[in-house]
Amino acid sequence: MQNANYPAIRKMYEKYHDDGFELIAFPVNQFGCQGPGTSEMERAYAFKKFGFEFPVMDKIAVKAKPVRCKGIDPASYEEFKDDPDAMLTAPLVDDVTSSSPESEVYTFLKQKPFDGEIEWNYVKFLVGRDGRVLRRYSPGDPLEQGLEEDLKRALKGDALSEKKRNPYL
Amino acid sequence: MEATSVSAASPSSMRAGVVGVRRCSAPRVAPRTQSHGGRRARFARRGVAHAMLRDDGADEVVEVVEDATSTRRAAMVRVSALALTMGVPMRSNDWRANADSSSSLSSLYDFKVKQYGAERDLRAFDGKVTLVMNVASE
Repeated sequence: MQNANYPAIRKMYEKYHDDGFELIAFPVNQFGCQGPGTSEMERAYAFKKFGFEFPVMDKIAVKAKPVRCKGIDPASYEEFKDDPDAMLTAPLVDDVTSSSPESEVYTFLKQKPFDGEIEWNYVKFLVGRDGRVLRRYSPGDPLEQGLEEDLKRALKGDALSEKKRNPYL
Repeated sequence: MEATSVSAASPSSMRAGVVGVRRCSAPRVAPRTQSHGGRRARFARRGVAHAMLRDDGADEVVEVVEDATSTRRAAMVRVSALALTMGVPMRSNDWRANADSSSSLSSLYDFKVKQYGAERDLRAFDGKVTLVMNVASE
C-alpha cells in the first residue's frame, strides 16, 4: 500500500501545492498493528517516505471499534528515536491510541455518503475548500481512482464527476 | 384511616398473570427486596386482590402487581422508552454518540486535533483543498 500511495501523492503535492492543495496525515495503529511507533516516530517515517515535511498529526483511532495493538513505549522514545531498527528492538506496551474511541475527525469524514469502516491504512478523503468531503478513495493507487482529476476540479471549484463517491458503496 | 378502599376483585375477573392489586405511593419500579418478593408470593398463593394502607398522606396510586418476570419487563420498557424520549445513547462510548455531536459540524476545518502533543486548529486549512489519509510505518 505504501508504494501505491507515497510516490503518487508526493507527485501531486509537488504539482498542486502552490494552487492550494494540502495533505494531512494521521498515524494509526489499528490495521495489522502496523503503526507501533510513537507519534514522533510515525511522523518521522512519513516525512522520510514522502520526502518532504507536511502536517502529520499525532496518532489517533479511526475505527469505531477499539483494536488491541502493541506500540513502542513512549517512555523509551528518547533512547530509540535515532535507532533505525527501533520498530523491531524497542520495548512494546499496550498502545492506548489503538483502543481509544474513534477520532471525531473520522466520525465526520465517515458521514454518508462516505460511510463505512476504514478498511486499511491509506484510505483517503478529498476535502473541498469549504471543508466538506468530496470523495473517498480506497487504500489502493490514488491515480487509478482518478484522484488527480478530482483534485484539479476541486482546485478550480468545479463539481466532481458523477462516478461513485465512495468506493465501498 | 380507610383500610380497604379497593374492593377485592374476584379471582375469576382477574387477568392472567395478575396476582394482586395494592395501593401505594411508592415508585412504580419497586426495589426487589426479600419481603416484597415474599408478599408477592403470598398474593400469588391467595390469588386475590389486596388493598394496602398507606398512612403517610401522600397521593395514592393503584398498582397492579404482576409476577416478577412481567414486572421486570415492564420496568425495562419504561426505562428504554424514557431513554429514547430523552435521546440518551444506550452506551456512553457508543460511536453514534460521537457521530451525533460531530455531525453538527459541517466542515473539517471546524475541528481541532493534536500535533506534537499540542492542539492544532484545522481552521488553518480553510480555503485549501485537502487530502486526509491515515498512515502507518510498517
